[in-house]
Amino acid sequence: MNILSFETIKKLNAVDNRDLLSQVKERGLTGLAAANPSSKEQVIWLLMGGEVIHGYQSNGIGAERISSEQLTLAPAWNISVYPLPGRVVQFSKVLIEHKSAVRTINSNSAELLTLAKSFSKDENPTLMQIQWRDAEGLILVSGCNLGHQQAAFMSPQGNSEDAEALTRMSEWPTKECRVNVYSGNMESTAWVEAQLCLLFEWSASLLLDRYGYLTGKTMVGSVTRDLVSQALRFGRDFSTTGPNLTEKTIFPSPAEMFTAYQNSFRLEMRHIQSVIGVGMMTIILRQMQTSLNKPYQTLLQRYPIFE
Amino acid sequence: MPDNLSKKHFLTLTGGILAALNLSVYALVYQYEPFNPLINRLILNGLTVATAGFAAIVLTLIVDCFQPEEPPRRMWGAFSGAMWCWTIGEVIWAWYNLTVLEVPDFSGADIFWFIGYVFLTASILNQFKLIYFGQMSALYSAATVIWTFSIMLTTMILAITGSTDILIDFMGVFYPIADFFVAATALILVITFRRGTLAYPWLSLFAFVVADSLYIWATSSDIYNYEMSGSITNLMVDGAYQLAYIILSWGVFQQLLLLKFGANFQSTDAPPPGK
Repeated sequence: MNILSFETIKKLNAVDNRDLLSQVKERGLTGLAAANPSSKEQVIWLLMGGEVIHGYQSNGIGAERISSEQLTLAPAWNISVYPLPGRVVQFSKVLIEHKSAVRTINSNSAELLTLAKSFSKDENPTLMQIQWRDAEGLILVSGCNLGHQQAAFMSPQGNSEDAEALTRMSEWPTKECRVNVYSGNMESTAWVEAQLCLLFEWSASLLLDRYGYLTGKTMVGSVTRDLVSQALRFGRDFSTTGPNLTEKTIFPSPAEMFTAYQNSFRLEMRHIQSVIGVGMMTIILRQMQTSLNKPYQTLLQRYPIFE
Repeated sequence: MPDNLSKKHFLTLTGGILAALNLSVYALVYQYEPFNPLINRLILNGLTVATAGFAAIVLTLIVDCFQPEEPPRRMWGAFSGAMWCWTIGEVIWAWYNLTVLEVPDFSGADIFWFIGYVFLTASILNQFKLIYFGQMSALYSAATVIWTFSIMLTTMILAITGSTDILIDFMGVFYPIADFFVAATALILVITFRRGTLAYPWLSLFAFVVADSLYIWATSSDIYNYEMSGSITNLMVDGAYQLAYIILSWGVFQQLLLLKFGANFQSTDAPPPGK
């Protein structure tokens, strides 16, 4: 299973598995739980807000999604819990489920953002896994020239996400790093989810940005307040900075992810449309749709979040 | 937010009552002339100036809602400039009407109304810029073509009719042409923002243009009597003009309420999306 190099990530200390799991629940932890039932087998669970979303079991050949219950049913295993940013958990799914070949590039901190930019012209998204000897970073580049990126950075000094993570990665003092390049495709469910998340963040943020351009920052604030309050009511890890939306919720399936995104987008559209009207909304949606390439158009046909 | 919503409803209701009162007083004083002529004219002109001034103040407050770097500020700033020019035009017109009764065919009021159109062009241009996200060269070209065409058409009409008093006739021909283009562009904006609050100011501007055209038609076809008597035709023409100012004030007031209190939007909970 392709996963993170856990050596650089702080583990949660606990007396035994029961203590570990109660800490996860009480502290509402987000991260990964890992165990090695045998020398060939590896099990990883995804945790969000203290809940187990689902897990993966690998026998050395491939990884299969498993239900959440097995974590509580495995008291004999030596389980380790790694509290991690929501983004890392999202990216981990892609790493684990990725089936195609992985390209490796030797690079250095200062060149990372340029490298990421070069992937933004690709048709499909790309996940860059950057490994330093003392830190690890992940950058998901949207492709399709959308100019949208998600990122996470983990080091013994602490973790960070998105814009802050990108800055820390480009300035990381241990220059030399190895970049594993995972080219996106629709082969795995995790890639579909990652692409859907990118599409949602990009489109919902762009709509808000256009709305702000037409009506000013004050009006954007009232929409984002509504969006955040709706998302929080349903326990989502959702936040906004100006017109930029960040969705870090781990969904059990693309179908549930789609329902959540569609609900948010509908709320946003209804709110904005009440001010800018149907005609203007149609212009913006048409502009957004025409900026999407074939892979994203296909995804949008399968999961019509704009409707 | 319920506090804000009730405040918004209260202000909307108060605005509605004041607008109805404004139009009723105007119509009653206009038709029945209950006071001595000077007082009647003072009330009628005062109501027009006050309504135009109210719209200008509201637009200034709207401009104040935006940071200097925010794109809509320019659009509202130009709209406010246009409204202030028209208010000054109304003040000058009222001054003539109160002092010499018959307002000259060309006065300082016309200069301000003309400048108002320049500001209005800037405002409409900026609104289109916000819609089409900065395709400025095409928009500037369109505005230049419209202005050049308006002035050339006005000049041609004056040449054909053999005008002797260029300034007076120029303004007389220019207003309907300018009104036509303002109405056409306002209509495009109303269609673009249809069923949205942002359509109100442009819809109200469209109403203003209709009333203004009615006034130009009535005065040029000599069915309008400059002495404000109890004529129904006069009441309809001047009443429509007053109503248009009221509608314009209402439209921009709705925009201010939107910026201060948010949209009239009831969020309905969608089914839980799950985690």
